[in-house]
Amino acid sequence: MKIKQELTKRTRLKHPKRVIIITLAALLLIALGVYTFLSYQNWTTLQQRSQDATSSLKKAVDSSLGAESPAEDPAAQIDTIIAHFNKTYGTNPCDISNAYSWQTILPAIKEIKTNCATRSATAIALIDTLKPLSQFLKDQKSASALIAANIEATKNPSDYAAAATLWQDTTKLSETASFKPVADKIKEVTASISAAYAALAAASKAEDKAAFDTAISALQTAYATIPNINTVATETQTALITKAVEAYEKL
Amino acid sequence: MVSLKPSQRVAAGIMGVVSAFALLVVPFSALSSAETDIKSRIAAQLLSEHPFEELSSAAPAIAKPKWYTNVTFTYSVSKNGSTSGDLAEFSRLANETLNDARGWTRLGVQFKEVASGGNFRLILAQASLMSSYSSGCTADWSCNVGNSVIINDDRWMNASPSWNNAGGTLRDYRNMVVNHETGHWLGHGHTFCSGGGKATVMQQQSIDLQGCTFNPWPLESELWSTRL
Repeated sequence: MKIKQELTKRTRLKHPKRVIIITLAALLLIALGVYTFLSYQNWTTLQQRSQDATSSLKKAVDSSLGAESPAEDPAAQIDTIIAHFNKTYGTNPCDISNAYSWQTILPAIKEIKTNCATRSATAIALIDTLKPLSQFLKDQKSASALIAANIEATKNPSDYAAAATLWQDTTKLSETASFKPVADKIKEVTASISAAYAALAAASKAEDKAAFDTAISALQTAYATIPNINTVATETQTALITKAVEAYEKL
Repeated sequence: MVSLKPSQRVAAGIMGVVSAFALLVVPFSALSSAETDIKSRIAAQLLSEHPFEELSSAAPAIAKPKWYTNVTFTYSVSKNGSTSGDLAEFSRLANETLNDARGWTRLGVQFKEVASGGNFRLILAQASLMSSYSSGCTADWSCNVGNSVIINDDRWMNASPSWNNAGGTLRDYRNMVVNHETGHWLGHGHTFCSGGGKATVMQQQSIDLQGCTFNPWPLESELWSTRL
């Protein structure tokens, strides 16, 4: 009788504790399940977001620059791609909450994160090649307009000294890194044209026929070097395009 | 189920492998070709602009300034014997005449006096010494012998009776005689009045106007020279 009473007392005492423990365990399991589900969703979303960003960037390039009938202004097309990139990659597609980031210790998760980072880097690399190319195309357009204006203004020169000053002015020439080789060549050509006009002015002042004839020859020689600008521009442009196409291939 | 002979089974196997290969390879090669096409199009599109190619490399035609096309004849001024005419004045007036816009400068030439030598010598000579230059020169008139353009001091100071009778001024006579004798040096011979009007500068206006009116400057028809 005494033993029975003792057992009943113990059971009464232990029963609520077990319930609590079981309840807590169940809650923990649910929380773990939810966390695992959210983790899975987050990583899947990240992976999808990264893939979508890359493929939409590729589509943007294909539709603007790879069209069968290309648009007339490639610089504007590049700017459209850059704008698309800024919009898509405005927030880093590989960013993930700290609550889940620790999971990269798991090889499979690490791979997702690494793949995302690689895809982002590839997209950034493409944009990094397109930005200087766009700038180059714009600089090229404005520089050629400057030279064309000088050619037009000195079509029938009467004031040689003024023509020399006009050709000497290269302050409006772009000095951006991608355009520098072309800018240097332009400066070389315009300096020789300016020097020829200065020599014409000096020969006129001195009424020196021989010097006048030499200056005319020098002017013709200087003008004949204008196509060299196009040679350097094409070389520079081709190198920039090669880099861009290589970066595109890696998308 | 159809039963196949061993040879048929081998053939079917090869066809199966080829088909499988075709199924795998053809789409990949098509994809690869499409990729190449799009890359080519991208490159072509980016290379489509060559604004520098349109720039003209032909230098502008430089018009020759007036000083360039003008031929400059140089001459020195001197006197021979005792002259009434002042040499400095003779030099100044002769230079004015030679470079006058109505004169031989219309040939595109300029005349520049130099200290000595030059293309020709302009001499103010004592009348009695004129014949010393050539048997064709007389004390009455001025003349040209080779590179010497000799002005008779008497004519320089008084013009000629014919000229004076026609009402010509001394300055015009001086213009005429310098132009006339320099005209000989430029390659001109004498001309004659034909049907009135202005006399040619190469007419012997000092002697007789022959019905023409006096004229110190070369006419359009006289604008040529064997010296050019």
